[in-house]
Amino acid sequence: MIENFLHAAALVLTVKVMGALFFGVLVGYFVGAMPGLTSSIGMALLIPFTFGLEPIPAIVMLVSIYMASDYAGGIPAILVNAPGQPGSAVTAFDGYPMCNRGESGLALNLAIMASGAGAFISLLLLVVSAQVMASSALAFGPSEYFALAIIGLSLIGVLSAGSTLKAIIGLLFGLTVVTIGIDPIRGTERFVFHPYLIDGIPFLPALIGLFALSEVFVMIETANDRIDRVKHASSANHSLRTLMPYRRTVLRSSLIGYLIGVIPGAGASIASLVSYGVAKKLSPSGASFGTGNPEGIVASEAANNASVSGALAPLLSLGIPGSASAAVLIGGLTIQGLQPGPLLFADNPEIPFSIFVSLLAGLPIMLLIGLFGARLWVQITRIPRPIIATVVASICMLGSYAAANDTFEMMVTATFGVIGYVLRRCDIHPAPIVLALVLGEMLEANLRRAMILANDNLLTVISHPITAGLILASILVLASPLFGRKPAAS
Amino acid sequence: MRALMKAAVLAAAAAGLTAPVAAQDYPSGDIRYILHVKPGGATDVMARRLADGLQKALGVNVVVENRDGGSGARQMAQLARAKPDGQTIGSVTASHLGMFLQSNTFDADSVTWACNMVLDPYLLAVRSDSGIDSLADLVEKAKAAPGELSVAGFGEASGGQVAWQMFADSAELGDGDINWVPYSSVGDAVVATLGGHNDIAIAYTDLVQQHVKAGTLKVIGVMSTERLPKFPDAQTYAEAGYPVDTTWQQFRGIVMPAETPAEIQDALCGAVQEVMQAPEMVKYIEDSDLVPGFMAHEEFTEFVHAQDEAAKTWTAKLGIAGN
Repeated sequence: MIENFLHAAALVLTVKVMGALFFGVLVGYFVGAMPGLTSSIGMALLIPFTFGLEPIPAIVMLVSIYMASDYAGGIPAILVNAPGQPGSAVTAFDGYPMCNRGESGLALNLAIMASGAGAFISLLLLVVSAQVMASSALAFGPSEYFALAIIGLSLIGVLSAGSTLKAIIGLLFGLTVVTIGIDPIRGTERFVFHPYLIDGIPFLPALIGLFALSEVFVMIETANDRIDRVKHASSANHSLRTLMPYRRTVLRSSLIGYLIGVIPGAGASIASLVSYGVAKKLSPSGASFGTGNPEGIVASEAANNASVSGALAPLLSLGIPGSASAAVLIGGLTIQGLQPGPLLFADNPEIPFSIFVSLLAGLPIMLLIGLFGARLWVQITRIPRPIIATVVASICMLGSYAAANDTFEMMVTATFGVIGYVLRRCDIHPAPIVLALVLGEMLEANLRRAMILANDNLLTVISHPITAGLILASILVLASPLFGRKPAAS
Repeated sequence: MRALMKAAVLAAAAAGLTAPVAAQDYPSGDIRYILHVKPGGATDVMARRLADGLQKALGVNVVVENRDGGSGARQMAQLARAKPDGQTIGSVTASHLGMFLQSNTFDADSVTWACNMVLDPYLLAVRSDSGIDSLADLVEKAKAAPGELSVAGFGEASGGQVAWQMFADSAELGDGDINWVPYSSVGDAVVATLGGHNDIAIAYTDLVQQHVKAGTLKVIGVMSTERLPKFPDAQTYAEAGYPVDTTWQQFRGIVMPAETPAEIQDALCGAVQEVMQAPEMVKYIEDSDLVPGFMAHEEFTEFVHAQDEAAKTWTAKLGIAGN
């Protein structure tokens, strides 16, 4: 193992490969911070550039885009409530309220440090457990995915800041939205009242509308309110010590993020939602989650970055993509004539080990860009509201167009912007809606697959050990407010 | 009368101006190559290789876009929206035929069938420790315990499901002897089988060969006239005593929006044929156990319509079509 590491270090620490890494980080920061562009889109765009490269720089470049975009996704989430990546929607829950209190500098720094810590811890986990975790990726079949979706949905009680009834309304709205499109099992059309809806409501444009565009409408309303959001913004200088009070949350969230990342199909969004829910449940200051609690940012960012390493485990040891970006990475490897699969560690050990080394080498680069950049980005809060509202609205539209090169997505964003605004006015938080949009299809398609496998016997479906355990856990999560001690009143 | 003549002359001039110019100027800019699959799978990788080759041959960027979903319907919607000028092309495989059967919006005439590139025989794979050693063994076990075994494949009424039903029919397996479980991709189906959640996967060489090499999966039957070089021990269906129509193969070709002029199709497909014959592409096709099967516009259209008829017959017979 050490020999492999040294060999890989020699391969990675060359001018050419480090150049590829730096370039990848820059592209990753850009696609990550731009709502609508995801890491998988950024990687797919750069795939043609890897044709002319040797395998190591090509893979290092793609991996660093993947990593850096998850760092950067939190930046617009904190500053303007526009999640740059689906996984950073959760960061906005507390990041944006902090920004509105004038604490954008602290929020940004915590986000980048938690990201870095999450990436580092999960990388260590990946190095020691990649081959072991592969088998747990395979342990997830239809009934287990169904149970995973159930436990995700059971977090609704935890995530809903105010009224449970309103949270349930949000959840049902989200679940209704995901029924639009092609039936995942029978293949027939459902509620396809516009031909482009055949694949359902596109997730990313809906997310941009719900969060960012609806916020623009709120900004327009409050354009003349004089609030000084820059009060503390200048204190964008924070040492790593700022993260220390949250070390338990960092460790726990990294572990949750890594484990969820390992499961194919469950990526950064689910990881950050689960980690946030757990942190809120366990934190003594849990009641203030959602109103600008720094711990919420830490829980979300550590988990969504950790899920990246998690997704690499089944990719490197089995050739199974754990996420859309991991799938693009497989494409990149195959183009280089490498077969990602169970034999990759044996046949081409330099590839997985180069990925490990480059993730490690990229870490300080990403942290430095993040920490220095934060000083610049907080200046955004100095821009008058009418201007920022205009710019954000344009970025929302540009981003949703870029997500699929299509004006249809812009209409989706506009529609969901209005819906999001109305829901906000009714005090319905977007969290339950995001939960439903992320988990809806996983829930439905896998329950129906599991039912086919079990010859329509629900008992057989839930008697799988992992399934039974997860469903039991979700019942406990749902029932805990009835029996548990009252959360410390604020 | 004069007005009519004028209009006719103008129309003729317009037609005369646009058609040849379009073919001469082709490609007039970057080409969008819309895929119906997620990134990373076999169809995707081959498409990206083709795009790279076409880029060199045609001197314009060929931008690959993944529009997976709805068994190809999402991609079809994109193609239906594009101008029939050859600047937008799409990948196509046998699974589209299943989608046509179910969709209210699309059918085999919704696109122009520009050319086919390769054929890819279906195969059946099981876990090495499954205790299923051959096709005969599989059939015997299924009949002994109906509903116990399950086969994983892509979608409902897809090319893979029709291929499976052809085998089931030939082996006289009844409805419900083996459950069909649809996944959102063939790759997902292979992973589910690898994890032991399903007993059998209907897949292609590319997706199983690494796992076969690693000893976790084994191929028990191939749907082709001869054995596949990668899996010399796996019997063909006919050898095992279950003769099926082996022209039913996964194919990978190129489609364009409906009513794309023939000259433009020829211009693109000439370049495609050129790329397919380049040494690195030939090697890739061999490595993946694909069968070269270039077909130009007319032949491909005929082939597809014959397959479409077969798909209709089979799905109607089995009652698996949605509409």
